[in-house]
Amino acid sequence: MKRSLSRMLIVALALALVVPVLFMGQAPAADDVKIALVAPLSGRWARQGQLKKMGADMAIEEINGQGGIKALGGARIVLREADAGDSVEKAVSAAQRVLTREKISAGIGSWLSSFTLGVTEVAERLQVPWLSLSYADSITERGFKYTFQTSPVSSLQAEQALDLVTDLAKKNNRPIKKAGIVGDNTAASMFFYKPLREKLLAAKGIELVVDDVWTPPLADATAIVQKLRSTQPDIVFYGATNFPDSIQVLQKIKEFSVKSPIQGVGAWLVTPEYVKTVGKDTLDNIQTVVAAHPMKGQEELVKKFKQRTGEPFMTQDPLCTYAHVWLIKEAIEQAKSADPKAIRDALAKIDISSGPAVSAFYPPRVRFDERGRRIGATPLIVQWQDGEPYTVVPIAVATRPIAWHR
Amino acid sequence: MPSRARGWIAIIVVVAVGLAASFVVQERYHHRVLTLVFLWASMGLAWNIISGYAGQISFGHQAFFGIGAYVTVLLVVKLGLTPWLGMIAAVAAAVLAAVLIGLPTFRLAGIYFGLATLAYPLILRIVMDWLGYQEVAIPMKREHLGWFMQFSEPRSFDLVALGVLAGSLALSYRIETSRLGYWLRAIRENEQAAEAMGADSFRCKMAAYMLSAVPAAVAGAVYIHAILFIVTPEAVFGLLVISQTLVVCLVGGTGTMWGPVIGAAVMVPVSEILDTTVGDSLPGIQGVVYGAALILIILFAPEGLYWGVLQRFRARRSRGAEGVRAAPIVVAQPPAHPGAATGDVLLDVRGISKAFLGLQALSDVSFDVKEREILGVIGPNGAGKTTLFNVLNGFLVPDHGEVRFRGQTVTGLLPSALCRRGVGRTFQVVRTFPHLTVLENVMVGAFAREAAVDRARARAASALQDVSLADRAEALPGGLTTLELRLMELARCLATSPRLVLLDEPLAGLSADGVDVMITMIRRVRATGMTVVIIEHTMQALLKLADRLVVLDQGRRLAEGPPGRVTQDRAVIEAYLGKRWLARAGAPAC
Repeated sequence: MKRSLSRMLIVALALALVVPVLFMGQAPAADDVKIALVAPLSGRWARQGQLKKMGADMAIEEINGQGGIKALGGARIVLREADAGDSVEKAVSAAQRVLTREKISAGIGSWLSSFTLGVTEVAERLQVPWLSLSYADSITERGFKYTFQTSPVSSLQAEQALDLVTDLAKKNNRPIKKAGIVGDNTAASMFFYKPLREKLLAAKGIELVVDDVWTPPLADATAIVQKLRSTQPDIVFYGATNFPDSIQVLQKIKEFSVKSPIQGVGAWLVTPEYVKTVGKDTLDNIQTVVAAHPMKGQEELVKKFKQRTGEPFMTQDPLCTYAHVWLIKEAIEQAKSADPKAIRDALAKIDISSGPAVSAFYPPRVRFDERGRRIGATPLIVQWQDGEPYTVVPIAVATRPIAWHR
Repeated sequence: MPSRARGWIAIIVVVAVGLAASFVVQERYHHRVLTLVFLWASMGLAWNIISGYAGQISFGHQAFFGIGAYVTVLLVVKLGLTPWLGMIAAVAAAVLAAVLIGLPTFRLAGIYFGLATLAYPLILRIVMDWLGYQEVAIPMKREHLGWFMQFSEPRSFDLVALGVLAGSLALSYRIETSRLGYWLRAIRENEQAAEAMGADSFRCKMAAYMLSAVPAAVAGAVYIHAILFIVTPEAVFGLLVISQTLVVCLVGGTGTMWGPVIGAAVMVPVSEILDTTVGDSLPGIQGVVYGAALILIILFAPEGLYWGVLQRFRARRSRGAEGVRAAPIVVAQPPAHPGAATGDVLLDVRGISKAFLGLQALSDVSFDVKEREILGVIGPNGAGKTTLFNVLNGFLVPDHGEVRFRGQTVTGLLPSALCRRGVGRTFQVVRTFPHLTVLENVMVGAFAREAAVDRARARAASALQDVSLADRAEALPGGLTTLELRLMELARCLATSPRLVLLDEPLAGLSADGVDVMITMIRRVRATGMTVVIIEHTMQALLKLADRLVVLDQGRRLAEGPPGRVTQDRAVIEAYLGKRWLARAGAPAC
């Protein structure tokens, strides 16, 4: 009896290993252009990876629908996605796999900056151009030739965001004198707080009255929120990237009726999950700094995205990936080749300011400096209004006017 | 072929296979898988030193892995120092960390030790966050790629990782075949028995911990340069590192250097194959299948593949050859008139008291033991006999009083130190090292006198010869009879070359024949010049054996003297022997 059970288990294991191989994707036609997307498709950050894939799929469908890449006689683009999982090891592994298994012209990814750091190292060694929306300064500080960063880097984001909000506050006759920093110690948040603490706030004569940083998960938000209530900063830089932590803090803020404006530091604060969990009232007027968000004039794009995916709104992750695919397409058109080195050279020289390839970026112009950073990249400020995030700053591309705080 | 040479040859074969694989494999990604196999095997070997050999389960071994990674990378970033040299600093830092962690943590035993070790990588993660090292990328050194371990040729990483594996295997094998290795295994199997046989368990564990930090740190440093290219606290101090290490060790088998190698060779490719097949088409499912595979392997070979296969192999070989020893144990009588007690005091016990909370186990007990005598300690259950032995061999420190051995105060010395001074003991319930053969059990005792394995083996073999157990040398203790176990424990004790032998109920559970064998054996022990103190319940046997008796009752010394006089003592009769004894044994003497 026991023996036959073991046999069955062996057979089950063997099937589990073999069957999936049979379902592997069919090989594309030889002249297709392959683009890699390395993003977390399983694990903690799977949702972000899925969103990125939605953006990429949409762009590819558009490009192929319009006749593919003209310079290559209408070659189609196909996406090769690889699961970055939830560790750097898996991410790097996925990159190595996808880049060596077949000829990849360019790659996109990998959402978390530590993943991007590892993945771009592989791309650099294999000489495949790589586009990333990650913020970390270090990504383009290593002297890499194949890495292109379209988002404003963290250190600049802090400076630019502070300029934007102080300016805004002054216009609303509520000048900022006291600021708070509240959030977890994940890399992206820490890179944002650091310049604020070290020089930026002092340079503007702003006093830092609360500085509370924790390692997720947060046990209890009461003490932190009480501090906010007693010190009443004129702005709170908020970096609770971990969803459960953030929910806890926001609910306490509501409960204690803290009036200080909340200024988030990343796109994690504008996901549909927030509306579902805390409700739109709690979110109202909360704003955050992001690298990309739908701007004025992109209503058609957003509508199409919502129809395709059933998502309530479009955010940074699908938008950037959408634009990245288009950007690669433009580079291939200019290079007239699907060779990764030629595409890299084209990206290094590219200067475009119209079309879907610049749709995700502000200002809407794509040029890269010698490090691979987009020249002039500026963050946007997005604000929750009636359960939806709208671009409110800069005013030129705002989809709604900013609602200043009570 | 001597078994030692066989081990080195096996290591060379493994390295040769690794080398061959590295030259057969062409694709960059496959090289990466190979590198991962070598590195996780090395990390598993590191863990195996402290948790496999020494049995101190560490859930925080990624602390050393992370220290290795961070120290080398920070030296590259801050000082431009090549990782080849940086690794030396990293190893030094990891060994220092092992000392700092071990000093407080080895005070905890068993699972408490394991739980406490969990804390250290968590602390290090927080420290790295606080220092601002959330993501440290390695700067690319295009001019000196090899000097900075940044090869463009993926095979080079295989070779570096294979070097780490070869080093870890060599270190493991050196430990396995050394006194430290035997001591560690003895500590794992029964820490008190090991300590009583002269193994200073704290020092042994600390040595193992420090040694195990070395491959972990090197593996961490190479892992960052070959695999991740960046270092984050999560990636090197995180739970994934220790869970991968545990998977490799548990699947392959612990307590042997082949376990982690087998585990890594199986599980790393399985995980990667799953990632490339199901993982890419159905993201997330690879984790489920991997978990199922893990459960299956653990169901089939709960002790790991190595031991599972070995057991089947051994079972097949020994089938039919399941012989039981033919002849009963016969022991020659010692010379008729052995050298009796000389009158010199060997052990002097003065006013020993020991209380456990409210219970006064011993109060003000004094007696002495003369050279070459056999002293019996008797008393009813709970009289404090075993507590007395535990004080005499150092397991317990008395609250008051003093023990002098050969004229020197030994109160408060560790059992291992007392053993080396010449105090040997056996236990009321035989304490074996169950996974060591009979010969190896006795070797653990022999190591108290011999550092060299070959000489310890010879000494152990001769001790087994002395107790007529030579033919059982290769058996495991589990297959021995009670008498054989008692004899084995006696041989283990004798192998430490004691001046004084403390025997805790050596006759308990023996048949009448067995009692005779044991009594003869104890007489022979004395005949070779040793002094014996016996705890025994069996009064009749003790009357035949002992030169003098000490009677304990409720922690007090009730009487002391030659058996004839003690058994006539009214207090002894009332407390211990009972009125019937008086009627039966006492009558003729009146």
